[in-house]
Amino acid sequence: MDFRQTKVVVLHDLASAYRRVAVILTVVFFAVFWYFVFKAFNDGMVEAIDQGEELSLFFFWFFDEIDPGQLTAAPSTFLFLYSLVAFLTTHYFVITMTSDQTASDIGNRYFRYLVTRCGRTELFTGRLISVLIITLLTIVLGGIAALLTIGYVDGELSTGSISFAIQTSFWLFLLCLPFVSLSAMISAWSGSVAISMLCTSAIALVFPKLFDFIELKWKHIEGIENLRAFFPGGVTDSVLGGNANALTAIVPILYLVVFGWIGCRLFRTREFL
Amino acid sequence: MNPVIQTKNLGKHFGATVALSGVNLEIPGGEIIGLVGPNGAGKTTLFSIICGFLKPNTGSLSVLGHAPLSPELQGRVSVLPQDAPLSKGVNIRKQFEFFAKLQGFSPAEAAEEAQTALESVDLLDKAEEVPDSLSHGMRKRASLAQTFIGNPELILLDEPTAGLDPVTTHKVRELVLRKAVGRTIVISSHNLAELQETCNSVAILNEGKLVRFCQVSEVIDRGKTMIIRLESPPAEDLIKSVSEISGIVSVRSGDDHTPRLIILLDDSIDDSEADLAILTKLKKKGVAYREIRRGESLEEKVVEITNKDKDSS
Repeated sequence: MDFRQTKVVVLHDLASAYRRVAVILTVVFFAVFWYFVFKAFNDGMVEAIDQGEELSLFFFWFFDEIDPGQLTAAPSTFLFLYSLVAFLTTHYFVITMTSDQTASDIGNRYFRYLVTRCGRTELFTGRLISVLIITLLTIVLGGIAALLTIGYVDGELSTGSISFAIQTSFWLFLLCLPFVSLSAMISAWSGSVAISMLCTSAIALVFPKLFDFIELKWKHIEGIENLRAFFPGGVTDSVLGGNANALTAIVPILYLVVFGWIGCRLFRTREFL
Repeated sequence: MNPVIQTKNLGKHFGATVALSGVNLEIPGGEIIGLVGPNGAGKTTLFSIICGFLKPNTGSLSVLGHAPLSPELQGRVSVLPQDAPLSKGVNIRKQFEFFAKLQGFSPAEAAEEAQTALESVDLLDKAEEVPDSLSHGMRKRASLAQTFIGNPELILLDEPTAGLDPVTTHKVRELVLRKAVGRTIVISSHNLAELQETCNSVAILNEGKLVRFCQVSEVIDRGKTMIIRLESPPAEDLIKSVSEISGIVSVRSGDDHTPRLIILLDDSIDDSEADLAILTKLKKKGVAYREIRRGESLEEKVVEITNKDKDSS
């Protein structure tokens, strides 16, 4: 692989990312979403949960696998709620933003200008790396927004809060890895943004439900619940359930490598009609 | 000298549709070659296979001695794809710099390459604009200009003058002729008058097969043929009457869509005498004409060759 070409692709894509419709729309929706979520937190939700009024209902409604002990482990209820909502929603925003890694440029034939100048592996990898960087930036900006909000409301920002936000951003990024590379794979195969977004979103929605079914069906097997960590999106359950470990970090990286490798193979061998 | 492009028994099909079949072609270096044929002849498919956009189902292909998409070809082959837009949101200069960087140029060299390419098509004043804000002709010129980045050895142009006005078409022709020095340019086009003026050789495709590959001068005989475009198709007695003139080898009518007489003259005949004798015959028969021209055009020969090929198959 030619790393120089990959770097050129990454830098060009990052420099032109702010002009991409999918990125602009997702970032706008992401910002609006978090604005209203943070507003709801500050308009009494945090206080109510602190007083134990809506705690059980809230947890049950959003996430039945959650360990309530995580609430006490978090530096503040606000940050805990932020991480809860982030783990349940961020990958969907990321799927929307990253579904068009190669698809539209295959469809509109723009790649015909590039493939006589640059290796297909370098093009695919460059695109994937650039969307991973944009994903990381988006997640970090979400964490910064949460910290700024809590700092504004409380009038101070503890190192514990900063550390919690960094950890949350780290796990959120890992949560998104399988879906970003899955998008890249489907995008390279189908050449269609719609198919890529639809398939990846469907997998993100179906896999947790699929595991719910597996767990229910084979509940007599001891430790069956631990298999959840091996599914794409398993990071959410492990982190919110308080069971995150090295395996929780390794599995999404493996998904990234496997989906990325298959996607790269598909991109290298596909025809540009 | 090794051929720049060599195909052996090249074939490509899309489902049941055969796009190319048994194409054997050796394109020599340092020439401008036209790739012609009717719609669906396989020109764009052959182009796409040479560029590595498509893979052949049968046969083999080498470009500059390498398989298509080999790393060795990067930057040595450039292409003007048909109907492929440049990136929408990025200005022309930045796109050209990006292309040059991919080809291995440093940022400073890439800026220089972009500048030179833009200058070559008179688009310096539009360099900071995005493609969507340019006219169709300007976008086409920009797409053409990117093919010259980095001095590639082989340039493939798919319909470079499609949709352009005559002035821009003329500029493109001049540019292609200027840039052809020391490199090979393959042009696929329906504008056969342009190809006739630009190309050294021509490859004629029909129904996915290579019908003929030869020098343009071999196809069109400029001196011995006279074409008279008529108001209506010539009657048999007119053809017979003209063929009786001394020094005329043969007379035939054109196809049904373009009424004309195609007259092959003997080498020994005096041109002005022949002209006068033929026009006198036309006047006697009361036949009106629109145009008299010496030499057959490439267009006429391509139509003739492809029609013959259809009839024989």
